[in-house]
Amino acid sequence: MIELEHVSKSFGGVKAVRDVNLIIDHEKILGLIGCNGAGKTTLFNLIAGQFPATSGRILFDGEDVTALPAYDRAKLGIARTFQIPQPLMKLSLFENVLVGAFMRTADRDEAGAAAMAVLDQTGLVDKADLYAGELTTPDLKRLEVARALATGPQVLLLDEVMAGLRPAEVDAAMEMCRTIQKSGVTIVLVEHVMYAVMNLCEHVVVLDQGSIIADDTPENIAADSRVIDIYLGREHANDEAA
Amino acid sequence: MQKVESSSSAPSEPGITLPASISGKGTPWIFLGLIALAAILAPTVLGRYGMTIGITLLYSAYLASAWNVVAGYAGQLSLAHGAFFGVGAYASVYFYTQWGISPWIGMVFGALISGAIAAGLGAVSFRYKLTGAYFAIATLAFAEILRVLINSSQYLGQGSGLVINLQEPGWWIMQFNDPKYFYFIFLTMMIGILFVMRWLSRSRFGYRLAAIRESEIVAESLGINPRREKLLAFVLSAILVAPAGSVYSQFLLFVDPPTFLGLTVAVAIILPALVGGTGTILGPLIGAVVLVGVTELLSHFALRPGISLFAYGMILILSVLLMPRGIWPTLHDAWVRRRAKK
Ligand SMILES: Nc1ncnc2c1ncn2[C@@H]1O[C@H](COP(=O)(O)OP(=O)(O)O)[C@@H](O)[C@H]1O
Ligand SMILES: [Mg+2]
Repeated sequence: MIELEHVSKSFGGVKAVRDVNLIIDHEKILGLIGCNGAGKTTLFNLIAGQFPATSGRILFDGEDVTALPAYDRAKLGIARTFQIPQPLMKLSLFENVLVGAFMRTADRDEAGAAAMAVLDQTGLVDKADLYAGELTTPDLKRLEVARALATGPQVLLLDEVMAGLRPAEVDAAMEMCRTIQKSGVTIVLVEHVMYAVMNLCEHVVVLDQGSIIADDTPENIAADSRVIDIYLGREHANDEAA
Repeated sequence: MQKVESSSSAPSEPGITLPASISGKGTPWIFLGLIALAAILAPTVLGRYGMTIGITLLYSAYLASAWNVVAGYAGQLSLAHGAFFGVGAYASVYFYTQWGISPWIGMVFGALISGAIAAGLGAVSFRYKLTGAYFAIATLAFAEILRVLINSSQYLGQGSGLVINLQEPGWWIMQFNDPKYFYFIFLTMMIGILFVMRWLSRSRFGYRLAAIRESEIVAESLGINPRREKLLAFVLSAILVAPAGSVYSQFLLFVDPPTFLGLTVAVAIILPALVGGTGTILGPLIGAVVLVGVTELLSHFALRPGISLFAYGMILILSVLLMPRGIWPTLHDAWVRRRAKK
């Protein structure tokens, strides 16, 4: 459904993404892991069209979308969350999601109903009237998911939406991902919570310094010595240092 | 779906800071009706002087509301609105004095010319991603250029402007022997623009503008094209401002650069919205009531000339310091919080 061909992105001298080739399949959950600064968020920005790739091509359902602006890609069905939550501050939670729902319909009642349905799905109905300043971090993460989901996407790019959640909340979030996937939405999951990645994903891609170094099933990834060295090991070292 | 129905009363109806009181549910219709009735009956009670204040009030509120469309809702701080106001005035006066065309028709042309200019100015500004202070400066520069051009244009009477000859009063030429007619024209326009803002506060277009104002990156991720929507808001706002210039020039029977063009005019348009609260339906109107009221009081009670201007400045500074979001959102929030406590 989404194909990346030799996609690279440089910021000045920093090569954030290097020659990435990737296929994102229909109606699956794809895991994307890597240390901080590996280029995961940059890859999401490239797929969603927030900025253009330095080189390479991006295809959506076989169509070249490399030159399309973010809003056109959103209309095609690519939705994304922001790693650092970006609520629309002066709008209530309901209104934030409503803006997303307005992408598919101009009718206020229809959009409102769709927004409420998504709030229900993401467990935010009770907080519909609150403003971003009144929300906790986990709720802000849920708002990110809800707003993106309200656009009725085909692909949902989730950037560390489980970071900072308690174990019970992670379970709820995983359940939510499964429900979303079952409703026919493809998910790409950038996540540091390994337990969630290993349990949810059929496939995991490992990014290191902008390049894909492994692309396999969760079991094989967990056993891959390079990955353990570079990623899991380093995380482990970080944990010990902390 | 059941869920949706039952909870649909939970979210406060739309609008950026839109109060529940105007959104339909729990609307104090009686209260609004009384205000409307008072506004309609005002001319029979007030004399000529009172009418002039009423006109000033309504037209200030109207102009601030029109500016509010692009500045309050879309978050683009235009300083070109003084120029759009002037374009409306110059168009209708020029058409009338040169060719005898009715000011009503001139008003329509003025609005179209104003909209066309905004389309050009907006297309360039938004193309080069001028936002915030940069957009303000670009629009200010444009307004100044236009002022200088008109100030030196022989066709438009240069610095002394154009004067409308008094004729036998009549609707067609928009001349009346009683100011109450102008009062009613501005009242009609004001009610009209309240409905425009009400629509903005609940429609998809209004929400798109609000999203852009809060974050263009997020707006884009939700399928919104910021350039297009900002341009539409700017053009709409310019089209709305111009007719007030046409009517006001008929009221004064002249048009000249100091009264209708330039930064001071732009600031006068903006102030009621800032004081009352941008991005809200009632903010500009409430700001105009407060500012016109204060001006009137001061002109009666100030002992020395100059004092009233000083006091006016102090009140402005205080209002912005104490209620940076504007009077209406601040009061409204306090009211909602009090009700929530009960
Ligand atoms: N907008 C940007 N401008 C400049 N450098 C950036 C930008 N975004 C990311 N980078 C750099 O690109 C690299 C990858 O960052 P990022 O994609 O955020 O990594 P991750 O999400 O995997 O933690 C980092 O070195 C980061 O500093
Ligand atoms: Mg990241």
